[in-house]
Amino acid sequence: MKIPVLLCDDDNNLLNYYKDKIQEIINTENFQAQIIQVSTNAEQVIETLKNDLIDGGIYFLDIELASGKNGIDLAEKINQLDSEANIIFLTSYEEYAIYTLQREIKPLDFIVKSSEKEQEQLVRALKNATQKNNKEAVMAIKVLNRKIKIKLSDIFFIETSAEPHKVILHGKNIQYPFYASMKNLENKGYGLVRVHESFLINPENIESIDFTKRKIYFNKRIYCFFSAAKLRLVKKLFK
Amino acid sequence: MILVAHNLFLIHEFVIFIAFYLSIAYLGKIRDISYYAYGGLILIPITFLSAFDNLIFFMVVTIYYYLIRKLWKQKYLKRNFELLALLEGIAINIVSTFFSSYLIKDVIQPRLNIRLTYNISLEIILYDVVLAILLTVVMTWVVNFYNKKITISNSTEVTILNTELTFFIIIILLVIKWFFSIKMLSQLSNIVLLVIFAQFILTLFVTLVAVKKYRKRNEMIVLKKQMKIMSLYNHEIEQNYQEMRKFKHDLKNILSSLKINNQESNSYLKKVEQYLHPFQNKKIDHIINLENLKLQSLKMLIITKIMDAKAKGITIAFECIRPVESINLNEVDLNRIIGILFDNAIEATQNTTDKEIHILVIKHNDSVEFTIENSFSGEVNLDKIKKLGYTTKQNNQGIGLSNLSRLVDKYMQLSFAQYVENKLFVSTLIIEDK
Repeated sequence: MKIPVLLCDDDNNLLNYYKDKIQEIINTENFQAQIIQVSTNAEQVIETLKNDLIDGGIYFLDIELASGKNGIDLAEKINQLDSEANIIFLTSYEEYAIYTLQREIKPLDFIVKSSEKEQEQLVRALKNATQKNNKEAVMAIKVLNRKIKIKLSDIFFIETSAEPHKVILHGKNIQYPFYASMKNLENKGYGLVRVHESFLINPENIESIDFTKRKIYFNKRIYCFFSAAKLRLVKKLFK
Repeated sequence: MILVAHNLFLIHEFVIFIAFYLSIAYLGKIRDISYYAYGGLILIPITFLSAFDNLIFFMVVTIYYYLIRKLWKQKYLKRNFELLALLEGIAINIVSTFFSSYLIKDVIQPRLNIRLTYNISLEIILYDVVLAILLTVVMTWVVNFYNKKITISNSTEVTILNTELTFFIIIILLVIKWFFSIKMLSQLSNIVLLVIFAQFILTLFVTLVAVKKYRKRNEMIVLKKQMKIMSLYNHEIEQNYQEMRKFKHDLKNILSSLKINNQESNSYLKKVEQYLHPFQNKKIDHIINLENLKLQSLKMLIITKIMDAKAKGITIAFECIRPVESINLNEVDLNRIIGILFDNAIEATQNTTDKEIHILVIKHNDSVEFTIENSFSGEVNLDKIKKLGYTTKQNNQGIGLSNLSRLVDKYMQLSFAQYVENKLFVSTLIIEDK
């Protein structure tokens, strides 16, 4: 099945330009995607989403849509209607509230309009969007009011914290505190292994093990401990 | 002056009046010839009057002074200042003449072994006059010095001083007059001395308190005015900034559009673009919609901190995409929390190569979120940071955190979390609207 692609920009010229460009990339790169809608109006996009259930669509949105609604509101609406949406923002300049967008919308990409790297960026974004749909296993957690999806392959280990019921997830460039029970996380089928009363590790990411100090390293600096009782288990994991 | 009526006594009064008149001129910085001419005109009658009755003498002098200086015509500030000179002159006159006669009678005369006769000798009068003039000169000089010290340009402070001085003079004169009328002055001059001294201290004290209170109130008014000017200025900057962004945005759009429409003949366009390129890509501060933050004090705080961070070479981004009208938290505590978070962020970026701080104020449906992201170096241990006041050696994420925890715990509507994401240390505070 081809992934639906939708475009929304208030400038008709630019809209047509990007439509052609994206079509060209889909054809040459042979991506499994199809442009199903091009519009200058945010309402039309929402209308389409409400009528046809789209799951995991690719959306190219102009951030500063002129017609009242801005790209962020539209993106939020899209996220509500299509939880697997791949949103790619088209922006005239790296001047918009990109940091807020990154937090709020978690867009797949930003493309700066008519920059030299535009072609490259479009290809990359489409590639990521089409590949992302080959569903990679993720863990969904909630940090305050924000739902965060973490690829299992990014997780190093989860440890208990000083605060009851709160655990801390360590991973590649991430550290999240969230509320969960170690037991639940262990049994949820994420493939995490309990190597200590306080540590739940992802065996896929072990880099090395120091058996004398009973430390498991995930990179040069990040490590956790394992208990003596779990020695045999750890040895088996690291084979 | 309060010795005994005598011919010599008139001379005494005559000389002292001249000293008194000149001291007022000196204190009031009066240089008009008319002032001296009017003084000469009144010289003889006023001498008799001062020998006759002190209270009436000062009243007449005050009225006369008021008339010759045309005080009702003067500007408020000048009028106040000249009145101050008069009152100070009177006070100096009273104190110096009393002191001189006290010293002559109780200190010098017994030592000189001059016999106290009914007819006071020329010698005594001479001593008295010289001493009184000396005292007047010294006191005038001191008072003038004091005038310079206090901000004499401030009319309200001068008014306070004038009121105090008037009270001082009236009380002293009444005391002296009363003692004189019951013929006790010579016996009770020590008590008068004490009264003068006590009244003087009281006057100083009351003046000081009044001036202090006034200054405090004045400072508040000035501060409020400054706040108002600041916020106006902020508003203007915001608008300029907004326009600049819009212009850049439009320019870019027009160029893109032109480029697309004239695919073939765009060599000229390329030239134009090349020319505009440095301007377009010139990094202006990433400050988005600061005007959406409607809380003035918080906005000031954030602006101050942004300036502070910029001075330290930190790249700043501020974003507030939706209007934030109010926040469900005591403003003082909110500012304290944001201040601590900001300071921590600035501190943590210090050892990093690309110093970066992002401040995001996000209005949600039923809450307001503050997120501060900063670059950091070394490892962060969230579990330890959570503990009160923890500080790592490499990055001082913990400074002020014990205060922060206390503040966050104080309010039900607050939730707070810190985490690491994409190599940035993130602190998020959420304030529920409820």
